[in-house]
Amino acid sequence: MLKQIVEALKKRRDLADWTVRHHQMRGAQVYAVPQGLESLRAVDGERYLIDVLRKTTTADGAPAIGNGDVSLLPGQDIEQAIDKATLVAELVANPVYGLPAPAPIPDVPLCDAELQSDPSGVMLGVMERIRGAALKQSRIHLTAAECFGEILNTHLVNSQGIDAEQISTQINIEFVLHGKKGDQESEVFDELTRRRASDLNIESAIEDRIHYTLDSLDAAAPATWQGPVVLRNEALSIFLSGDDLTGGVMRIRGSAEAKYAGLSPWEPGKSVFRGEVVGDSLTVWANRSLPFGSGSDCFDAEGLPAQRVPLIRDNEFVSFASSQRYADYLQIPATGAFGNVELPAGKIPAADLLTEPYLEVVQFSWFNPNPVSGEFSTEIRFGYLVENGIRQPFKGGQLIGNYMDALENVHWSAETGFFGAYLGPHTARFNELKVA
Amino acid sequence: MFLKERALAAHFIDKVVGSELVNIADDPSQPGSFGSYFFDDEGQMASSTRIVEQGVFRRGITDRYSATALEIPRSANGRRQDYSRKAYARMSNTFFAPGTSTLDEMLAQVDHGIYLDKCSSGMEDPQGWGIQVTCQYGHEIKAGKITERIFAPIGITGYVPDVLQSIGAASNMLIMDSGNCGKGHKEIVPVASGGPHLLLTARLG
Repeated sequence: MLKQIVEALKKRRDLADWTVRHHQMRGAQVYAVPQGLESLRAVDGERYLIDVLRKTTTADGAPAIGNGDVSLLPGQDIEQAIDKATLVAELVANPVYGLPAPAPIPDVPLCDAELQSDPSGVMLGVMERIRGAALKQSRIHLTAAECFGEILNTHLVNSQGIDAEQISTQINIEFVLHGKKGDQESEVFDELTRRRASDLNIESAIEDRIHYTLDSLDAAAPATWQGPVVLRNEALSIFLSGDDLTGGVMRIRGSAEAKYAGLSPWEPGKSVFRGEVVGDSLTVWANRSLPFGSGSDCFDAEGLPAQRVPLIRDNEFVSFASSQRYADYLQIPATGAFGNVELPAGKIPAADLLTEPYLEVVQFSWFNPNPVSGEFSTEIRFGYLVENGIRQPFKGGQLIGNYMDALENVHWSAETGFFGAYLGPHTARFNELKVA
Repeated sequence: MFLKERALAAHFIDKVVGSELVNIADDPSQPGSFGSYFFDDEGQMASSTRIVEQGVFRRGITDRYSATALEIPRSANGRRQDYSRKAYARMSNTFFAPGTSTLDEMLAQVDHGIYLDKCSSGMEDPQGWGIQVTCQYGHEIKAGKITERIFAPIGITGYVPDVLQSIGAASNMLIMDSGNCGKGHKEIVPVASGGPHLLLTARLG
């Protein structure tokens, strides 16, 4: 059917450009409740996504471009679908832009080979590892867990001559641990996304969460705090790379789309900070070619090849991550989608960043800073106040500050870690943040 | 959540959890609301579920699996993100029922307090029943009037039954807000939530 769609699009003289993507997905989903496995589901799906560009004019007659899109299931009417997308495109008058031309596409590792060959077997194995790890602590039990594994095959063809295929896998797990001591009960929920099962580090992840669950039985609301705040591992990853819902400050401010919309203050060659940097300098890459990165691919939705884009170097902004459209608008190179956040290793051993006193945020409820202002006041799900050799657990309270101001005064660990959408120092000490 | 032993509410069925002004319902049959449907994703006809009635917790929402396992009547809350996902018991239009007071009458009862506006996020705690709501800003109330003093950001924390018990007035208007609800970062379904103005006591932070 892809060939038929391409042939149909080639015949359309009313279109300036087009892209068609054929997505085929298959996978397995395993659900568990305290009593055992609730269900094992095999899922698959297939669809075609068509994007079209059509030459239009603005109200005053200037050249413009309109875009429209449509999705098709196998067997649906191709001509009717293209007509719908074309009709929408005819109603739109954006500044003129084009689509990318063919370029060498890197072979970025994106697949868990075992998952590809046996999705159900691998996901049942992942679930068993979660259950086994939780069973090691008698005061804790696993109340719910879900393990999803997917294999996605994408074939992209566009009117400029790109014809490329890629296969990727993705594993998402979530689990809830429950603890009880007398009348006190607590639970810890967490979720992890990786491309390979081996990158989940299930046993150590569960062990950490078991400690948090037990400690949260003794946790109270935090006292007001102003001073050093430590983020490690997944909490630091969320801080730096954001999530699927918010995108994160780096991702949004570093995008050409945000620059074009006037939402990003960053300018090439200028500091990304409004004040003086008193901590370690900041260097960041938007890396879409990171092996097995959650945000990695060989080519993006437009067909642009994966790149490792220097975003910030020694506190100065270098370049935006840009789709073809916004690259055309801003007259900059088209790099494609943002991908993953990568930072270089810091210079200080992680152990030296844990000088007492400090407050550690282990888990946010939802870290959702305002990407334009950078302001955040985000709920803390769980953390520790560490002073006088005691790690006092707390839950609740809000971490308050400004995202970029916080990065002006931070020290990064020399040790690094890989957390799906983030590669870099696994510990950061922010020297001046507030918890209330 | 009852089935997964994740809900403290399971121990509070038919027990008092709030003042008599507390009435909370989930109703997918509410005309025009963002979380409405004629029937859920397992074929159950939409109808209202009274979760809390006059301060007494009555029941939770269910899908077919949980209602069967718990041996309770099904509510129309079996919802799935799309065809590739399993149905779960999920909210639809969940709201706090309005009372009879006007906002001015409620403000007049406050000597010194905060009028919280523009909620930005909240934290769920089904096991501990802690509640935490963050607002973009709050206006100071002095001697029954809203002043020009604004606190931002600001939020409330507390223990759910304590907060619900402290509710002394509910306004006579129901304001619904629409959005999407997910489990973590997946299982996104359209929902609505809302309620009247509430006069309550809670810890501010």
